[in-house]
Amino acid sequence: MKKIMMAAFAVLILSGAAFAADARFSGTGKPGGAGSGPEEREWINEFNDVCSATTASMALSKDELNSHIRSADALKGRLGCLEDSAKKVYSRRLRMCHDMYEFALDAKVKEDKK
Amino acid sequence: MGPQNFTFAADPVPQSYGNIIMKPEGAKPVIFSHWVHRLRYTCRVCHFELQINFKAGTTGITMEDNVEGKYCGACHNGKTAFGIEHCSRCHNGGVGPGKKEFAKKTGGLPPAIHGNGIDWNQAMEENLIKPVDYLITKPDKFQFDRALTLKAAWDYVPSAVFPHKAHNRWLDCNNCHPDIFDIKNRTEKQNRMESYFKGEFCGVCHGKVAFPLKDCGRCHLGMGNWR
Ligand code: HEC
Ligand code: HEC
Ligand code: HEC
Ligand code: HEC
Ligand code: HEC
Ligand code: HEC
Repeated sequence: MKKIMMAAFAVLILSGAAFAADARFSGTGKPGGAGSGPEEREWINEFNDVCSATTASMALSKDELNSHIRSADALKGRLGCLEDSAKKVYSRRLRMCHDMYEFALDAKVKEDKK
Repeated sequence: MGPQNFTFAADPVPQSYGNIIMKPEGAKPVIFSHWVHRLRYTCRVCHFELQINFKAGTTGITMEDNVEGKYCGACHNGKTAFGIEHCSRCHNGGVGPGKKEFAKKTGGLPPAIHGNGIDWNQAMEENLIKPVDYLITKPDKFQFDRALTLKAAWDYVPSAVFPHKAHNRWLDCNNCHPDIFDIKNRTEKQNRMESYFKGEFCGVCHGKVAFPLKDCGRCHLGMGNWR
């Protein structure tokens, strides 16, 4: 029990610090971690552009798919500077988007051959 | 192997189907109920945007992540849902909402025989529930409704169907492609119920959160159900 109380204390302090230092967490309820500087905001916009198109992937042309794959590759290097929590989440999402575009490209090539 | 060889455990009570009990070190077990959350959010939100894995205990969620606004903390922030400071609402020993609360929140939804006892696909079709499908960026419109008939390996088994539409309501394409279904690396294992019982392919979700494998007739149209 004592251990849990101590953990409670630690987490409260941790969360207190996070809330005070960074208004993002108390504001929108959207997952944060993207940083709020202009440069970081820019990559998150690009990230969202790339990763919100997977649902339409079979409606995209091969050129568009290739362009998304290239954007995803280019973004990968820029995730290195994120803090751990954000890096963990965004790297994996980026990998999934990238792979879906490759899947769609393969499916299209296959269909063309038929 | 034929259907006569399948054996199933008894169904859990409907309100506990899809419940996950997480057992972190140094704190009481945490409850996570899928049905509570899927009434309001599609799978895509958590399993794509928030990057939670399709296998219990593998995501590596920590309280630090939650405080940083990741995973549970993306919503449990005191605005979208109760905040992280309400420790015991999650760390409650692993007890999900009871029968009464389940009935109150899911009453009137179309019935199914197994799982939560709810036909979640029909509930969505009839607009009885409207789970949101993104927190961060609105996805482009889903543009792939192709219904596939998966070729049966056995003459006496009606072929199984795979409707993309019923899945795309809940999931992102990249939840399945290419991690679970990759047309480049197709093997015979993919056509076997045995694989699904082990939690592979269709069995990643069916039997865990989506309707269970006992509901034969929902995939093999024309086959009866296992009771
Ligand atoms: C929204 C649900 C939720 C709330 C509220 C919550 N936790 Fe957690 N907690 C979790 C989850 C999920 C895990 C990780 C479980 C696992 O091992 O997979 C966790 C893990 C932990 C751990 C294990 C070590 C670690 O840091 O990951 C401790 C200790 C802990 N919580 C303490 C607390 C305390 C103290 C509070 C209140 C200040 C609290 N939790 C509030 C969901 C919650
Ligand atoms: C609000 C968030 C959320 C939503 C919405 C959600 N899940 Fe989950 N899901 C989780 C969490 C958390 C876990 C546990 C992950 C862990 O322990 O690493 C999980 C685990 C799973 C698992 C693994 C189960 C097991 O026993 O190993 C499957 C399969 C799954 N979810 C499927 C789905 C499907 C299908 C949907 C949509 C109908 C869905 N989930 C909706 C959060 C969610
Ligand atoms: C996408 C947003 C979202 C995420 C992510 C999320 N929750 Fe929730 N959760 C909610 C909302 C909204 C409610 C309130 C639902 C209601 O009252 O109908 C809720 C309710 C709950 C409840 C109370 C109902 C019950 O099942 O007893 C628990 C416990 C809970 N969540 C645990 C968790 C844990 C643990 C995680 C992370 C593993 C998590 N949630 C992730 C949005 C979320
Ligand atoms: C979630 C969908 C789903 C459910 C539920 C399901 N199946 Fe299947 N089943 C498939 C798919 C997909 C295949 C492979 C393609 C095919 O044979 O049409 C398959 C193949 C089979 C096969 C032939 C291959 C093998 O593994 O022997 C048999 C027999 C079979 N199913 C019986 C059943 C029975 C009996 C039930 C109910 C207890 C059932 N299935 C429930 C999807 C399902
Ligand atoms: C729940 C998992 C799931 C989801 C989500 C999903 N698919 Fe599929 N998809 C499948 C399965 C299963 C097959 C059949 C695979 C096989 O036969 O090997 C398939 C096949 C395909 C094929 C090959 C079609 C053919 O005729 O052979 C394409 C292309 C495809 N999917 C695109 C998409 C797109 C685009 C989306 C999102 C809009 C999507 N899928 C969402 C499971 C899924
Ligand atoms: C990633 C998770 C996931 C995978 C993998 C998956 N499904 Fe589903 N499936 C769902 C969800 C969620 C639903 C909505 C209904 C529910 O939750 O019970 C659904 C619904 C269906 C339905 C609609 C049934 C109806 O009565 O309307 C069929 C048929 C089906 N699945 C067959 C399959 C087959 C066959 C496979 C494998 C080839 C498969 N599914 C793989 C998650 C999945």
